[in-house]
Amino acid sequence: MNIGILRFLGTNCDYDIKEYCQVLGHSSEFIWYKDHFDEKKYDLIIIPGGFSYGDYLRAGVLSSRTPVIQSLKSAIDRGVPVLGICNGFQILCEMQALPGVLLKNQNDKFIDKWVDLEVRSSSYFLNSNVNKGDIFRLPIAHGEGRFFAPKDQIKKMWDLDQIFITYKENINGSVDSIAGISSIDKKIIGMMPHPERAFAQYLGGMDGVLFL
Amino acid sequence: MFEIGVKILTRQELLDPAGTTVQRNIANEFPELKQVRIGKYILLKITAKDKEEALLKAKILAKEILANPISEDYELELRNS
Repeated sequence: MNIGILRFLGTNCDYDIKEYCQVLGHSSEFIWYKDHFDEKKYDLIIIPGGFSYGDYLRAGVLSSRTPVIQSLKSAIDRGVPVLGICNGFQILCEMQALPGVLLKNQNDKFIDKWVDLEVRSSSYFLNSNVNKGDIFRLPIAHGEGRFFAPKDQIKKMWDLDQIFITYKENINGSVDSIAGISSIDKKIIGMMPHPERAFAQYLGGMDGVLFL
Repeated sequence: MFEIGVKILTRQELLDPAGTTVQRNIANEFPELKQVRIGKYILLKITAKDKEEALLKAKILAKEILANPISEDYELELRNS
């Protein structure tokens, strides 16, 4: 695949993502937030984690208003898949490409640890080896990862198979322990855990390789 | 130029971790303090032909960017006239 990696002011997982893509045999290039891009050029867009705009106002909101997002919206309209990780997930919610919002963790602390996750949706567009009921171990590192959406919305998301992964232990107070979700057509995925920090044993685990 | 304040608070039904932490940690000194909720106050200066137009512009800004409709409530106040 040829992968486009968005970079905003304050993105800090960009090189991790690039390495992750390379190790898994994909070509990739960075896309600057001020630029527009040709949506036909990429098979996948990744929005990496970080603290874009210092999380000012709300995490992800200012990035969701940048020029590159206009191109991202056209790419989404053309069916290009998007994977948003951590701050990338927050950006996808703030630009309303995904439902819900990510609030401050329940304990008001930044949580940085490895967690067990369970796959809840029936399929994952990037890897058919990821199946419902599978358990993975990936690192999380966030202060604003408490997923919230109104009750009726959450019910709708379960009904439409939009709940992608949940925490085995609800570490941040997310509704229904939600750690990752997808759009209805499943082409847009947002998740708080970092698969790009788990692609080799020396990093502490390899479960991340299944997510690309 | 119109000066408009935007008060933003996390919705009452949602947990406000910062407020809860503050309340819990000063409860020894002020046992009567039962709840603290911490929000944001954003001051805007807007050009408009009259205060109605300024408030309308502020409302659009608050609704679309400054506050998240899923998790926050906002109130506008005109600070000059």
